Amino acid sequence: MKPTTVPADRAGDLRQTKDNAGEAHTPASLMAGVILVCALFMVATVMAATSRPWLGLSLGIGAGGDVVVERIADGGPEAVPVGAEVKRLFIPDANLSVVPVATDLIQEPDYFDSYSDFDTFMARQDRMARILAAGRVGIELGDGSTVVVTPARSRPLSSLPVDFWIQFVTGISSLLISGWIFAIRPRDVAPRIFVASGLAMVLAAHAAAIYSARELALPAGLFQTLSLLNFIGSLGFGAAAIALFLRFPKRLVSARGLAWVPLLIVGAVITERMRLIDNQNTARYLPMAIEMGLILCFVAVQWWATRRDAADRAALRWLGLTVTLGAGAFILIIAAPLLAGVEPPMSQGYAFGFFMLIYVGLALGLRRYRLFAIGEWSFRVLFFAGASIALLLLDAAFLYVVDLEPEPAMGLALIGVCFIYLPFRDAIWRRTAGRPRMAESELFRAVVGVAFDPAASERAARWRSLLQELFDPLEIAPANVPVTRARLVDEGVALRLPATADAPAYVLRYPFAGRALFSPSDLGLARQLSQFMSHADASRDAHERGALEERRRISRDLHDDVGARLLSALQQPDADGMRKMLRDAISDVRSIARALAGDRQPLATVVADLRHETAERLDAAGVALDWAIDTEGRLDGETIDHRVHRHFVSALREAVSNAIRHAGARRISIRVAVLGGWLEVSITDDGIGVSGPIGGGNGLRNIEERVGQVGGRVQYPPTEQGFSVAFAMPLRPVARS
Amino acid sequence: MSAPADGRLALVVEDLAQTRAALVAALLETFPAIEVHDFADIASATAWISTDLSPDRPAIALVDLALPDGSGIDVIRLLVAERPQVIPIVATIFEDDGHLFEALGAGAQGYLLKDRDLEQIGRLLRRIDDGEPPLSPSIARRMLGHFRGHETAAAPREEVSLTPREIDVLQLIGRGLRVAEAAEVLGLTVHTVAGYVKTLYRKLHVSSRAEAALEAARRGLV
Repeated sequence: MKPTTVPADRAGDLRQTKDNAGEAHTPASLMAGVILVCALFMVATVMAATSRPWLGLSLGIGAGGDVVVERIADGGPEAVPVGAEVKRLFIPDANLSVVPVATDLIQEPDYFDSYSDFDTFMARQDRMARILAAGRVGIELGDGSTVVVTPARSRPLSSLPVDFWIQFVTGISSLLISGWIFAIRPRDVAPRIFVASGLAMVLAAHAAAIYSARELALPAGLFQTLSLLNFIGSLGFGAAAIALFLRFPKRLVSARGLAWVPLLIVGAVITERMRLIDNQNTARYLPMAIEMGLILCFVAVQWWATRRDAADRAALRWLGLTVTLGAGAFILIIAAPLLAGVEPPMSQGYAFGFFMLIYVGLALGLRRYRLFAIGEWSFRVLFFAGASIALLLLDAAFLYVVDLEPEPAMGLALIGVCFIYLPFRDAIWRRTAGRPRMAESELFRAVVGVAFDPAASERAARWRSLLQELFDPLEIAPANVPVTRARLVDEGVALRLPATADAPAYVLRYPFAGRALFSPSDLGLARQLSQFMSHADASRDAHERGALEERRRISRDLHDDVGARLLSALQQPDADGMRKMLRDAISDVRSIARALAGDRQPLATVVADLRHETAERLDAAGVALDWAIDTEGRLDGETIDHRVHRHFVSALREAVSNAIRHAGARRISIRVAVLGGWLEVSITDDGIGVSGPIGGGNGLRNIEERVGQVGGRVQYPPTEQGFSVAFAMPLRPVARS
Repeated sequence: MSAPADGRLALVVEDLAQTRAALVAALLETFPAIEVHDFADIASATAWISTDLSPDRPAIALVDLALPDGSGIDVIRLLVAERPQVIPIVATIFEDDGHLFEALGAGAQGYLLKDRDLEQIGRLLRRIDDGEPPLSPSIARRMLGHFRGHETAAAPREEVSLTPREIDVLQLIGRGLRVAEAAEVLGLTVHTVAGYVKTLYRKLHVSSRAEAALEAARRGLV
């Protein structure tokens, strides 16, 4: 490696750090933030809608185009007869009065074609609002009578109309659903665009909800602001949809290539504010229609771009369908008729419901089409965020109840908190969001189970499920960078683990179901775990290598020894010779089986068994044995290599056989000793001896061959009587070539 | 039963027909006028033992361990428990077969290697019959290990702990001496050392049984 090269792992980290500058958040904490923002919107909107002076009258347009009292709300002024015409509103004892007209009741001021009509409308709204804000309001009815009503300081929730709630719920659910997706993938561009669309939608819907649900009038400043917010929100939603289809499912442009999209909003707002188009209606709805056209256009481009990608095409089909149907229906039902100068067939408040279709449809399609690459686990984020909110509500409810208790009950309440409520709350929390930790012993057992599962694929699967169980991450994905050591990424959002247990390197994201970050102690555990796994891997590999080596050795022994014996047995002319060979073969099998106990055998044991066997044989043959046992334990602690063991036993057996068969001996002396790492053996008999050249016989040739196999040497020391053979073998021979 | 009740009786339980015949031949040659019954499997052997073998009748039983319908150890257990007059002997090919030691623990009073020739088997049978069971170095070493482990595992009882003399015998045989040679080294008669070996067999059986009971109790089987 060149000294300047950054290791791949480090390089990956640097890239990550640059990408993800800033503080890390868990999906659950982001989701909690989203829920908080939603709650703020809910409270602000309801406050704005209800904290207005309220007459308690439901006004409508009579048959003659005049403003009439349609209904008296509960708690409204009973003095006003239902169906009466409202001719004039005024402040008693003051010079301020308004004659209400049908257009005052219009829900949406965007409907005015001319800016002068719009300005007149706003001026009248402002005057009426001032009348309503006065403590007492005079109402002159159609029959000429006058009623003075004291408006309530605020409006009851129940008096808000249905279309208020439709817009309210549409706005909140848009923000909630888009915020949820953002909470899960806060670093991706598409979810960021999507949450922007949700914010725009809540702005547009809630602003419209407030002004379209007014009883009669709002101050002009507030009304105009709300109207502008509605305009900006609507434009923003369209712009976000455009940006979304520029990036999803295929990235048509870079993140920088989206910069022009907000200019659509800025341009449209400037055009409208400067009144560059002499038609308020057109200035407001034309930009939206243009945006809709662009949306359709980019959906078409995406359709073409995803022609070779079935999964992306499916995602586009679902998202494109919900957006074009939802936004398209709104444009067709509200904007198109207005642009054509026709009254829309449906109240704008109801039409807002179409936008909800987009977000709800998206939530439904999320799992099936893997929109925004979001997995099934994303629903758990929602669940835990919901659980946290529910618990907060429970706390609040509890505090409320405790607060109602009279003073003396306070002590009792405290006891209740300590002994009943807190354990109960804790149990609930653990039930829904607890993080069970594995006991040490269980962990150890699990790791051993993973490491020593015989099948590689099974090991990988068990490793993965162990990680799942330990850290409960929302996501486990193969790391695309080489990982040498476990490390935290993105300030603990993710943990990278090196490849082990036949599984690839993994990156774990959003531990503990997205409710926490990886802590240094988690990292410590992960490091320990992967170290342990690699040790276990190594020892299992070594064990497998050893087992393989052992199998090779057994097959070699079977082939060389037993096979050769059986072959020569087959070639024996007489039955006795054959029997002898076969017994030798069985002895070989016995030695091989014994050697399975280990690579190196204690020499003392080997010698003891061999002495016993020899004594039995000689006893049967009527020959005396002179083989002093090793009472001083000189052989203790010495071990003998398996190969030497085999050849030693064979050579000694052969020498004893020779003495029994050919020498006519009556006594055999055997000495076994260890000298400088060599095993020295001598076998001497008192038989007839050998005349002529030594080493010609088959038996001696076998001994020489056996001893030669392990680099030993054979000698024939001269004896007074009989015959002597001595051989020496290294206890640890060099490997056979 | 036609044979006289005091005549010698033998059982052979061995699945290989040739080996069975060889064992029967060895018995007939060693003990003239012996009555031999041979069986190829556990089922027929146990059936015969329970119905036709009188509990008072002394006999010799040669039992192979690997039988088609189970382990010969079960036959040995049956004989030890219900026909104490029978001397069970394991017929095996390999004396370091893991099951051999288990069979000795179950109460077998000797073993013979089936690859030996008729004459050797005969000599061995006669020795067992004379109360001189065989003891190879590897079995002697295993016995030593067994009793050593047993002493630490449970409180040693008189009947299952070894005397110093018995330990001497096991150590000498474990180093490769035969019974007669061990007797010579220890300055004892062959008969005395053979008696020790018999005692060792019995103690192995008793302690194995105690160990099995202990194990069963530990596992909650009893």
